[in-house]
Amino acid sequence: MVSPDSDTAADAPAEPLPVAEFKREMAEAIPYMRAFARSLTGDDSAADDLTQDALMKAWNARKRFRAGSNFRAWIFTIVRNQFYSNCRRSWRQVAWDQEQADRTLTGPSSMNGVMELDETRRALLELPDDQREAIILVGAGGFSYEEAANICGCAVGTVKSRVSRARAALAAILESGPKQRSAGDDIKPSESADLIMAEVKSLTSGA
Amino acid sequence: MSAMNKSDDKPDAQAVKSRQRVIGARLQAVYDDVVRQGVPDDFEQMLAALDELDEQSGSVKNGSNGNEG
Repeated sequence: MVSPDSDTAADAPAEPLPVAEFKREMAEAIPYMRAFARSLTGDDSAADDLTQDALMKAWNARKRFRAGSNFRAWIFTIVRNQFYSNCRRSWRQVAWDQEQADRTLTGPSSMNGVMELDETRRALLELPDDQREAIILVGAGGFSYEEAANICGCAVGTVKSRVSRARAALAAILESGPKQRSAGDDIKPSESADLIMAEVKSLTSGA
Repeated sequence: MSAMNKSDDKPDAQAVKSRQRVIGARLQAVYDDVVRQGVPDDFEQMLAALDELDEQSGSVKNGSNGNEG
């Protein structure tokens, strides 16, 4: 990323962002950081704690951010490092809290409904950490494989294989129905597969 | 063997593809669901507090890194 040559280049070395701009970048990144943190922790309040910790880290490290580089990738790296450096401490809530799910699922999304979202969240939680972060970054966060590799500190090929394994695993989980179910959840695996097929139809028939 | 099944493979591949599109859309929906919430109040407060932090540390001019990790 930052090559040792950059200081000796004829061009002036990249400078840190002015503080006001740095703050604006942080503010703009917050919704995305929360979304990423949410996928890492699987929990609302843990995600916010993680995001706030990462914001503080980013703020303290602001002089190290070079203007012109990808701010979101930079700060996502901090979120991720923070998540792992705490040994995932209490970030991860293993049991899915239905009440919490209801609280966060306010308006309807572009998808058919709350149930699909909830089901997908739970399916995500069944993935290994490395696959989950890879598929979220590439599949939802809009990062390239290269950017995701930088964020995760691994090779591009590794990200690619994690994403494809994650896709296959998600397909399998969603078809058989996620393991972690809440008491009120009475979707049967077969219905789950039906739901997916219904979505396939609705997606393929326009929209 | 696989050559004989070629005609069967095609619709399968398509089914896999469209299933993956659904999963992709679902993932995006899960992510966007949080993004749409914007910046909650406590984060706004935190950003505002950073200004004060900055003013305080700005008065102590210290080029070296006095961090105690």
